Amino acid sequence: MTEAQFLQRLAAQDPAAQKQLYDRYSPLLFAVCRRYLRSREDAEEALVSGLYKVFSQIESFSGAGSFEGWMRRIVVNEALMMLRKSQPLVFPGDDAKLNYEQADSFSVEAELSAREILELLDQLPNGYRTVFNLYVLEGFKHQEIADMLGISINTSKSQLILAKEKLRNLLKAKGY
Amino acid sequence: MPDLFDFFKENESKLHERPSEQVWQKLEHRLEHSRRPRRRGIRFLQIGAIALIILLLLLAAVMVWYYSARH
Repeated sequence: MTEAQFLQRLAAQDPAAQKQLYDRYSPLLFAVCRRYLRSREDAEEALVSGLYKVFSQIESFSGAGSFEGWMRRIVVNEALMMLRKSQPLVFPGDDAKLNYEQADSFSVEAELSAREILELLDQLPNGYRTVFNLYVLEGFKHQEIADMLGISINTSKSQLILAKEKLRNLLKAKGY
Repeated sequence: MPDLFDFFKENESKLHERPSEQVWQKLEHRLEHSRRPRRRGIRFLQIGAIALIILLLLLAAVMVWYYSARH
C-alpha cells in the first residue's frame, strides 16, 4: 500500500489504519513527549492529545514535507501546551553576558543508555531543555523557537548555550 | 568524535519506547466518541426519511380514499 492510499484510509477514519499508524509511530512520538515532559503520565497525556489531533485533522495535511514531520510538529505543540499547563516556562540566565559567537567545541565519546540520556535532559531547567529539544532534536531555527515560545531570539540563543554548558558539566561529572 | 549536539541527535532513537497500553485505550475511546455523534446523526436522518415516506404514503392513501368516497 502506498502512503497516499494509507492517508486516504486515515482520512476515512478507518480504525485499522489508525491502529497501524499508532503501532508504527507511537514509540517515536512518545520519546518526543518524554524529552519535553519529566512525568511519564504527562508525556502519555500529551501523546493521546497529539495523536487525536493527528487523526482528526488528517485532511489538513497538505502533503508538503514528510508526514512524520507533520505529526511530530503536532505532538511537540501538545507537549509544549502540557508543559505550560503544569508550570509556567522560565528562561533563567543573563543573556547579556553570553558570547553567541563563542561556539566552543566539546566532543563526546560515550555510550549512554536511554535512561542516562533522559536523566541528563531531566536535569536541565525547563527553559534550557525546551530550547535544546526544539533546536537540536527538532531542527527549528531560533526565530521559529522565539515565535513558538513567545521569547526573543537572544533568549532562545542564550538558553541553548546555557543548556550546552550544563550538559557538558553533567557529562564531565560522569567522567566523559 | 561527535560534538554535543550530534551526540544527542545520534542517540535520539535510543529513547524510542512503547507507551503503556492505556494510551491506545484512551485514544481509541476518544476516537470512538468523536465518531458516535456522526453515526447518530446519520441514523436520525435515516429514521426521519423513512418516517416522511410513511407519512406521505398515508396522506396519499387518505386522499385516494377521500376522493373515491366523494365520487
